[in-house]
Amino acid sequence: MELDELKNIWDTAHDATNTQQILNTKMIEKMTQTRFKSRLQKVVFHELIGALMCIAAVAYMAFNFDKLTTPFFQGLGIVTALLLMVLPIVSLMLIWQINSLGNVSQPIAETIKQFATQKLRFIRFQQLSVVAAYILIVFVFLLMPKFTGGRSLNDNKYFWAFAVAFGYIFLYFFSRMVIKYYGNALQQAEELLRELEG
Amino acid sequence: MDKKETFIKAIKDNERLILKIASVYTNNADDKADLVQEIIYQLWKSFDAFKQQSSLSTWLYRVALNVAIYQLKVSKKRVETIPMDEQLLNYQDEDTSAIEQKWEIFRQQIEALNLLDKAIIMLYLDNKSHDEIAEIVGISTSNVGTKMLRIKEKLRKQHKNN
Repeated sequence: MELDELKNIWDTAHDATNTQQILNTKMIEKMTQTRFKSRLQKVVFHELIGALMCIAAVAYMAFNFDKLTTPFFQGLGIVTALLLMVLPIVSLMLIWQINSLGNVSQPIAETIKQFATQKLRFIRFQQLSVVAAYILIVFVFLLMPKFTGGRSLNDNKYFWAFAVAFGYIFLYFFSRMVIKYYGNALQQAEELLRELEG
Repeated sequence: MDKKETFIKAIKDNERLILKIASVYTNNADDKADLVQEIIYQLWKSFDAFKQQSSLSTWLYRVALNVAIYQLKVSKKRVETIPMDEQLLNYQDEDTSAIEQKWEIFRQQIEALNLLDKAIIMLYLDNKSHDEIAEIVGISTSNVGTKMLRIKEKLRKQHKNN
């Protein structure tokens, strides 16, 4: 569609809306007093559930820390706990940042730039989280027997075969999904930033 | 005239602008009504910050477009909204189906543009000068000219592909 045609439609819509007053005083007053309910509840809820599960795992590890008898396992436990705490906290912080409105009076280019930068940061963090998940799963496999009565993993010859296979197959598909899901968004955000900075 | 009266008058004088922005940045009547409400809410909240360094229309455009862009960021995460006046939801339904159809084609055309281009084209269609567009968007006037040429080219290509 050529610009002239767009202009024509735009002006037609203009004329149509000009024939009637849509917003009356009562409606405007109501709108200044009430903001529509937060649309973020759902996404924050899911993130919070994930964060709570991580915190529960950390709490479990803290209460059973005495079962980690050697410095190697203690160190591993601490690193695992840190990862379990830091990842969901950073994720929640980034979501909060993306969803905060900021200065509505600033130039639009500035808002779009912030938007693209925040989006890039969030996508890169999600990709990093997938890598962290691969590391975490190894740590969990190593720590698990210590928390389950000190039985060696070798006691059950099928443990590694099942656990590793299941864990890595899940992560493989999950990471593919993450990369595919964010691939386009990443490209768009990068293009937008290049255009704004160029 | 007190602050609220001044504000209500400003909104009434510029309601067409708010409704058009809401129409361009949303896909359905419910989202549009929510966006109109959020724009007016944010305009009221920042009304004190408007110090007439720019014109009222420039400030209104900035706030409305910023809120629309924000809403676009979170639009996939919607849960629920408060009910809105039927009049606002259906204001174009009165013997305007032909206009609505055209408007839908219009929306599809500019949907393919990125956020910045979409804002620029809207301001251009609303008869804003390159200087005014530059002030609202926050880029140089010469950059507005360059972008307009690129947008025209994008639209032409899109038209050919369709």
